[in-house]
Amino acid sequence: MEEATCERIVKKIDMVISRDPHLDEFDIVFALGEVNRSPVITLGHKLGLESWCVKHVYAYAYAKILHARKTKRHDDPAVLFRWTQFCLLIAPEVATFWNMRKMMLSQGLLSADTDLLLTKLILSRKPKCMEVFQHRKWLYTNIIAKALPHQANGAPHPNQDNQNGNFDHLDSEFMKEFLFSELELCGWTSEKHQNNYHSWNHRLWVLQQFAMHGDLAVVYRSEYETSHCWVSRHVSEHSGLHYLQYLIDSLASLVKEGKIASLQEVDPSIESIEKLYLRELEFNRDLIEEYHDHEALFCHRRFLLLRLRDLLYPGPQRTSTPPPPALKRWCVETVNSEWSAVLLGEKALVNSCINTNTYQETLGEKHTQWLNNILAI
Amino acid sequence: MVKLFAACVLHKGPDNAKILKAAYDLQQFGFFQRGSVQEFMAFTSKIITERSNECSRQSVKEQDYMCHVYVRSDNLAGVAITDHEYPYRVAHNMLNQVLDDFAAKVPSHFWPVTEESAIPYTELPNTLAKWQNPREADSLTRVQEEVEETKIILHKTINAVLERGEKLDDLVSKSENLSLQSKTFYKTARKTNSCCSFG
Repeated sequence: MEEATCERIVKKIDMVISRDPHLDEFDIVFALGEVNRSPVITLGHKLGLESWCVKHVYAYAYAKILHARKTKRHDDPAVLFRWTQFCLLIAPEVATFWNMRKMMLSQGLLSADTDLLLTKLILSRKPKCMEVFQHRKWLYTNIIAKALPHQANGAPHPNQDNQNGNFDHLDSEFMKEFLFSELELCGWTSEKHQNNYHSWNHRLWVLQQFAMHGDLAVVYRSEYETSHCWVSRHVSEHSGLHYLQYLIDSLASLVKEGKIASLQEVDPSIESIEKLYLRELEFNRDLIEEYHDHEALFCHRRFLLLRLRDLLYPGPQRTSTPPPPALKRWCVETVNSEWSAVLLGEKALVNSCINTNTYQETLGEKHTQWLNNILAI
Repeated sequence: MVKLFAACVLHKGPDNAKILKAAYDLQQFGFFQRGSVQEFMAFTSKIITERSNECSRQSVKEQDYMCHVYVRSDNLAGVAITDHEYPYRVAHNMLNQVLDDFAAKVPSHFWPVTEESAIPYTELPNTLAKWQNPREADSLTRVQEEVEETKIILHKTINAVLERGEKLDDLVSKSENLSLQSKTFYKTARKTNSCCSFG
């Protein structure tokens, strides 16, 4: 293929992307290229590139970028944007291209919005690409947060300067809006690719950023709700369950630290931390009974049981070695009523798994073993 | 994910199976891939029905997808394609309900001869949407006859359903119902699934 044709295709892609800020999908479409027409397809807000040209154009843009890097000549940054943009759409795993864009972003040659759109497009094709999430994180801390004068240190300065109080508030609102849209993006990518570890990791990070922008109760309330919805629609995914675990744990510690006034702000029916974990245990039991054969649910249950044991039964005799028989009996006698109710519940659950003659039975047996070994009952 | 991708009603003739009505929910797939995915689901529904006996229930696992098939004694068949988390007992309950409903609304002399577009049955998309939530939909129909779990035959791969000497790859490349684009899609999907796709 001629260089001019390659350049034309790269240009066309760039033109489509820069003209439509609502573009939401990019993909490579299989085609033999027998017909004489442009390989760039746009349908609504979707952008497609026919497969026959990918190899040639990528090789062309790649060679151009490396040449520009070697000679350190950046006469026209717009050309370099185009080339890196094209290469990243095809191969977002290449850190070199991202680094070049980061350099241009920090020099102010490129606006953050351009890269927010580009990363989103790439995620629509490769929703589990770590480099893309990393780039968004970098954009947030190095470009977007820095652009706001009053959030420069990453921490709010309440009432430090009355004149600027209003600006602080505006900045904070803007950041919150951005972070909420980031949560939405995570929801979208974790739906697109199963076990999307990177997407959930990003979500955890976003949640942590909220700590600097106040109003935690609102965020936690919505996250508490969405992640329960998500878990009950994706019963075999550890990543989602892990996020839920983190969410509950940090909710408990935020209440202890007084950063959230009470758990009732998150869910009116939860009065205490114990209740929070007990509710979770119940929710998990319903899922186990409804959806058989998923180990992830049992693993989550064990996490909850360990937390509950620490809360309801913080006995001094608990050591890493199993207690001698005499002590064990004593334990049983002094167990408080809530904890023994939990243990009875476990027995009932295990019994319901046995005799199902499926994988669920194996999972039930494993759970019994775990109860014996770890909780020593 | 607990997800129902497709529901099809088919007629199993002596030589081949014919789709009478189908509904899909493919939002999760990329815009440019949906066409191929849909072609594949229709293709799989057909080959699985052709290889199932009358009065049998099967659930076939292929990668992360499950394909549930039920062929009635009058040769009316139903196929549901779900992901691996969707409870298979519920999928078979849905097939029961869909086929009963279909047979009540479309007379049986239509089945062998009518084209898909000419069949007067429009409920399928609604049914598909309703059964996305297995808990709710199942509790509504539970009072009616329940599919006994023991009657469902489970297969770990689609190859277990194919006849001796048949291979899925060959069936795909021979098929006239699949476009060239879909065949390539199948090949690339094979390749990406063959190794660990972390990242």
